[in-house]
Amino acid sequence: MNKITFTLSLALAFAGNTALFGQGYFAEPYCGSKIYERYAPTRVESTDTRKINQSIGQAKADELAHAFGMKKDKCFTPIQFFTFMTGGGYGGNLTNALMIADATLILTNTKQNPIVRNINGNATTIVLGSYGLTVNEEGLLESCAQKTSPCRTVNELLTPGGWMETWCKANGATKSLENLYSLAYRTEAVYSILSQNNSGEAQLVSYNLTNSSSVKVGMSMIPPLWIVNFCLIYTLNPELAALMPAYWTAIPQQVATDISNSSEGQVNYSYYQQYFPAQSAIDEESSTPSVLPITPMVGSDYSSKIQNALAQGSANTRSASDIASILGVSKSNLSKALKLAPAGIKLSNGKISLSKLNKFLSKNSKNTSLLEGKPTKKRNKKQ
Amino acid sequence: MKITQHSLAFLAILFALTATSYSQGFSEPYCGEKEWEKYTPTPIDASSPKLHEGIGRERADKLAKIFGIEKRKCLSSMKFLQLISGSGVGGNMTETLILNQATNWFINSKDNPIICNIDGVPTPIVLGSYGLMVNEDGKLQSLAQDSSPCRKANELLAPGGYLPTWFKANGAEDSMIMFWASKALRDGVIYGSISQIIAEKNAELVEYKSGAASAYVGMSMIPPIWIVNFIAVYVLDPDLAALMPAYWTPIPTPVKEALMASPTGQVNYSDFKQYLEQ
Repeated sequence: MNKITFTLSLALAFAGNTALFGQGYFAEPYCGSKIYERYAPTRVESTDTRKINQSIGQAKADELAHAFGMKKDKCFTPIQFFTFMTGGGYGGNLTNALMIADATLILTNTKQNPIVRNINGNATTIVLGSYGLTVNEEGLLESCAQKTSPCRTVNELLTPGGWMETWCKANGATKSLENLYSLAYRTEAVYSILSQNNSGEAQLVSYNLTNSSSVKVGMSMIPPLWIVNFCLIYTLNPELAALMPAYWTAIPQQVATDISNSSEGQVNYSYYQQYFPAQSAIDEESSTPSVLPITPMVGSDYSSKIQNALAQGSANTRSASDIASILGVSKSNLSKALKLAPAGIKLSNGKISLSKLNKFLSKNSKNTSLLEGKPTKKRNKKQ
Repeated sequence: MKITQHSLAFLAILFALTATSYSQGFSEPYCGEKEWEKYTPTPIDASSPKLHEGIGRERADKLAKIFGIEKRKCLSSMKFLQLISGSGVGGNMTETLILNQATNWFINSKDNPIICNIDGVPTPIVLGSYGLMVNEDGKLQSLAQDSSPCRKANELLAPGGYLPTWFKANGAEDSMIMFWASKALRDGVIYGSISQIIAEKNAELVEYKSGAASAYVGMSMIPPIWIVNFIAVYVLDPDLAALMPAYWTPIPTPVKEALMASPTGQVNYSDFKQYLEQ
């Protein structure tokens, strides 16, 4: 039996067993090896904007690499990284190098590494790492593992005997290659192939909840894929691996449904932008905030966020921190906006009524301006 | 004074007219500002084991500090990846390729041989200490020769050029401000630009006198230009700047004469490799 047939047979076997596993977790093969699953990103609620799209950081990256059997001093040297990424060295190939660079930028798309795409003529900052989603250069929202995504097409360069292995051997980076092919990498690579083979065009994965329902996330955030990608990026440059998402969060249901129903696993990002955390929340926490103007949030977007939260079963009265998270704004901006709010929005116990806040925000654009930290216009006093 | 091509040309003429005889070292403007000269590569013999040796990380960090460059304000690994892959806001592959090739030749030393196609054979080239390079057609030339990516990179660095624009658009303006705030850099740009304008013909080689004898080296190894290149590479990635050549060595006479006699400042590497290979 050749290797491909063997892989496909395993894929079918796992597909058949999928329903037997996975209450409150990813089913096999999506969960990967139980040995390594605990090291992969954990789920956070969609309202937890502090953790969504947060990167793991250098200390955690080094800790994980150690757990996966990798040594930092065996990763690419800075000059090997530069030579590899610029298509240099023996057997260097710029096209391949750029594909790997693109994939790396997408897989590290966190608050600390926003990417910019042209959305309807506007340069728009995109941060979607925790969803396992990305926006391609045509403005289409897709799983990072969609068949045309660099993260997927790069697979053929990374397989044993592929371009990366050949380059490493020809350019004195054999020890980096051996470091990469750790047990964790090899184990999770098998689960990754099976997972991708099982997931159709959309490349989204179900996470089964205890109440028999499920939520979905992009393929790149399931344990085996995340670990394989981590090992690869850490090998290239440990500082880049530190930018990978630390948590995953469920793709908003409507978005997941529409991606799954599309023939190519892609939808227009501009139609779905509203479902993701507002840019203002990202910029406030990002170490390298975008310098480009972005489409301003309008009152109705805040309104839809509040309605979504209520529809998902949120209590009508919530703390200021929760509300700031729901709206994707800072607590201080929320507090400024609330100073103009009529009595009754802020309750005696300090909590805030979501429905009354919704009414207040929809009345006057000045209220939403304050939420975004913009000064409101003052009338000149008559002399 | 705002530095323009005209004012640089005027200064170049002034230097040419007022140049006095000298008996040791590089003449003005090639020696650059005296304040910085002592920090730049010193000459060694071609038989020295130090030939093409990089300066090393420790020396790179020390030099950066002296030149007013803070490591923490250099590009992050992610920004560096974006830049060298033509990504980020306003990223452009044409400029990126020039930048990458230039950077690669600036740091061409023992630990960074560059693989060039010589007569159909991929060949590792190490010429850093000579201030020479081999282009994609297998031609040996000074790094500052007109068609060299290292020469073209000047435009990318200039105010309003690709790099300052990219840095600003991608949240790295601090790095560029630090770059231009360095007095060593500004001095290097002035002396380096004049040196390139008045250098003999197309060869872009510079004379170094030692008593009655003289030696020649590629323009990239003279103090002001070496400093500019060092600071530029350090801002991109301090680890790469550590690979810049620590010493320079005279170009073998037959090679120097052939380069200077060539109308383009280029000769076939394969015809002269026996003089340059260790």
